[in-house]
Amino acid sequence: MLQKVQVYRVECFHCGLPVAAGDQFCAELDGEQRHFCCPACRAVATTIVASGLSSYYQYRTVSDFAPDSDTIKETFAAFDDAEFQHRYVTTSPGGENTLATTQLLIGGIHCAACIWLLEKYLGNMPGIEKASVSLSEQKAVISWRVGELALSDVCSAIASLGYLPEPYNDDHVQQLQRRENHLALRRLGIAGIGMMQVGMFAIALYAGALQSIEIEYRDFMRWVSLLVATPVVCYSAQPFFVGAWRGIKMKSPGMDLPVALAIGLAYLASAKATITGMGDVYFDSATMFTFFLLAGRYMELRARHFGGRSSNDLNSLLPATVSRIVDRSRAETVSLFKVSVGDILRIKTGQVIPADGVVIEGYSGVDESQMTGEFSLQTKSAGDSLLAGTLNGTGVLTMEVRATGAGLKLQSINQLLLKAQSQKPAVSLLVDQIARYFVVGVLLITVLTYIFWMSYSAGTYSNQAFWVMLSVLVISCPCALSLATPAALTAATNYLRRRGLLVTAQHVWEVMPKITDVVCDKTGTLTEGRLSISDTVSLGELSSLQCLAIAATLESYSEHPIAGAFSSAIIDSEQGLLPASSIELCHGQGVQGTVDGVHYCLGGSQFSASVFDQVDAQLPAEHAAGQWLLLSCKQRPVCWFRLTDTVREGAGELISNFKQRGLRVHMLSGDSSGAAKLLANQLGIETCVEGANPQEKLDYIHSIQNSGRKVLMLGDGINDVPVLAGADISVAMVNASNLAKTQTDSILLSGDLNGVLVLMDLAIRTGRVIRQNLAWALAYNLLAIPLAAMALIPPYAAAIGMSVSSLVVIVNALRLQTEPRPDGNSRYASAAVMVS
Amino acid sequence: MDSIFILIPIALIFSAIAIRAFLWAVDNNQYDDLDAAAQSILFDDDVNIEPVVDISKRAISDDDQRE
Repeated sequence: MLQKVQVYRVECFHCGLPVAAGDQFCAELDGEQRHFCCPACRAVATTIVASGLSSYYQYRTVSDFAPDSDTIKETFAAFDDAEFQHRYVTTSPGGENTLATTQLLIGGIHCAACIWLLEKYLGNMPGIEKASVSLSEQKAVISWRVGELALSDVCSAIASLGYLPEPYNDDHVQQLQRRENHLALRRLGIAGIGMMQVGMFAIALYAGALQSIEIEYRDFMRWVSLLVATPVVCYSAQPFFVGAWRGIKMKSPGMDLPVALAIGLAYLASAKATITGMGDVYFDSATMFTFFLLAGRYMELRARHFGGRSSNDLNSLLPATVSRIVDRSRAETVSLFKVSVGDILRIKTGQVIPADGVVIEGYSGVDESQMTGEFSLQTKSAGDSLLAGTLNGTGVLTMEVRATGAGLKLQSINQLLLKAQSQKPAVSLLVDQIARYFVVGVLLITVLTYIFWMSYSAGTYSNQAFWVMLSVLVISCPCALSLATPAALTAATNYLRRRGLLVTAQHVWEVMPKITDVVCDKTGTLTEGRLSISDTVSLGELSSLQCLAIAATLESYSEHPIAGAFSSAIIDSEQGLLPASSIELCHGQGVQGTVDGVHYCLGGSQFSASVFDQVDAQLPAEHAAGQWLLLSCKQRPVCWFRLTDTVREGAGELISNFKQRGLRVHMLSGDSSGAAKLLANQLGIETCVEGANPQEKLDYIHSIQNSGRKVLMLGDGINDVPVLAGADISVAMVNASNLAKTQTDSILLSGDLNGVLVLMDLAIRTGRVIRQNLAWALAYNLLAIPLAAMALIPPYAAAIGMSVSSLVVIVNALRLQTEPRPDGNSRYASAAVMVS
Repeated sequence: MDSIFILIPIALIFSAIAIRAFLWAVDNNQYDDLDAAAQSILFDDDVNIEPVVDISKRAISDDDQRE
């Protein structure tokens, strides 16, 4: 009889994985008995609690990843290598107190509690001067005293908390981004403080004008305003002047030109009025205008940087250190860039293969999806070639290096990526086209107004002509026009960020409504990239559940990904494992052993059948496709199991929703096992391409684009980077830990496929709001400019008109941050009527 | 009213100090990570911390036992 073993349905205290092994790994923490899935998790949790940091478990929002025990060991020794340090560590000489500083990319940071834990723990280590960790960049900057501590100690300490430190160098782009961010902040801050000061004096001046202030006080306040406004105009508003000048040089004046003119002329005229004591001052308008525009641009910049912090280089996938075999037996850990052609390397299970080469010893399944998109493990044995950047899945391999550095196959993928980026279809934003005409028009009107008033008043009112001209410039308010788009985009970006969607490229908004085709990647996108058992076909008297228990018992001794499918199935079925003996793992074929006194064999049909003289073991005809495993005993086949990649929740609805919108849906897969076709049929996808490599996938997308259609590509962001880059819009499904290695137009962090639909709807709403804003701004200008040109609007009314028109634009844009109502369309219609 | 001739320059000095402080904060990367700071205010500062450097070695020995 099958004997049932009690299975604990307990989650690991640290990583949240189910604990199936009973009381094997537990520890008493803060007076309570906690269970763990493995000794590594237990060690991490004990470390955290022993350091008095147990509130970490209270604050964290996501369970941790199970620590990879291999990374804790020995890996970090190579970090102390002189050459390595030269590249990643900067030291500031100071005798005994020499400080070294390095940046580490820390894998596994997911919420603010991690930051707290890392900073507290590192900050209290003796020898560490300063440790600061950034959540949004997943990066730590650490300074330590060289005499007391080595970098490897710091890294082991981080690893002992369950995080994975990697050496990191800012690439050029990221340094530029940091500088750009700081500069923008400085400009914004100075403009903000200046605006408040000038605004304060302006209130006094306006009140004074009504109550007839004495000239000496008025002039004093004007002089002070001039003093404060000068740095705002000269420093903060600099980007507008630079942009305007660039526009003039390129003969395509952009929105910056009227902005620069309005700020510059208002400032110069006010300065002139201050010096001569005649006319009005508009320092407040000039500074406020500068601040609001800068604030809009800063928000835009932050949204751009937040998503764009990816490293543009696939080389970051490679490990920093490798284990090299010297003298035929001894292994030493060296940094990757010391490896040369001909070296013998040992690759452990779960490690990324660091160089192109050939297997000389060992047997393992390698995940090459990075290079080929193919999900199933490729078996490698002596003589097979290995590619850098692929993942060693199951066994230990010894390889001989054939290529490193620039000679790697990985570089060709890098090249493909660069090419795809440069070929991206160009999009000109609607607002830029309007702006060009608008800007030229306003400038023309301004000049004509000035000439008219000069000649009309025959020079006697030259001062008045200047003020009429300025009032045309101020009231024309490029503000509303130039805020129309950024305000809407900022509101939409913020809304999406709260929903776990990052939009990193501006053109997404413009192109989204024009999308005609959706191309989906299979593995990791429509499916979860995780095997599970979808069918169990029992052939004898044993029930499916009993067969499952036997199979799971056999597989519990294996480390293969297939074993994971069985262990989760057995936990779901609430059964226990059975007593087993003489288990034998046959690499790449299957597993056999004695369960409950009967000898069983589990593996591919050929393996299981041949061992037990059942060469004619045939699948039931109705289940032809897919990946099947056979369980057999000595006399006969016992049970078939079908393994499938789990379909992601909501995939079916997503596809049918795409179709309802009249979009053509395609599926691309690097997998050639027939599983892709099956999934395509199941989800109702018409076109399905199997067994395509990245180049073929890219060609496929280009062929769609060449027929004048626009493509949205949905991928997992890691396997299909060049393909994503080639599409008109790319959406990647990524978990936060891989964020730094992803590059797409938009990123779906939540793993919820419906996010794509949210993005589509919002893009359409955003487009509508932008058009409303532009319509409003243009209508306002068409009304106000002629009035101003006729000298019917006094400058203060022009300033009020300008502010109100900008406010309308911003309020309209903020509507995007709220949830759409079911009757959204009628609401937009009424809003549009109201606005116009 | 003449007091504004003294008070406004004093106000300007304060603004200058504010700007200086702001620039210092920017240069010291205070604004680089706005997400963690928003939550860190909720954390306790005064937890009793005993750094346990050797623990990393304990983690290793645990692993060794498993293998």
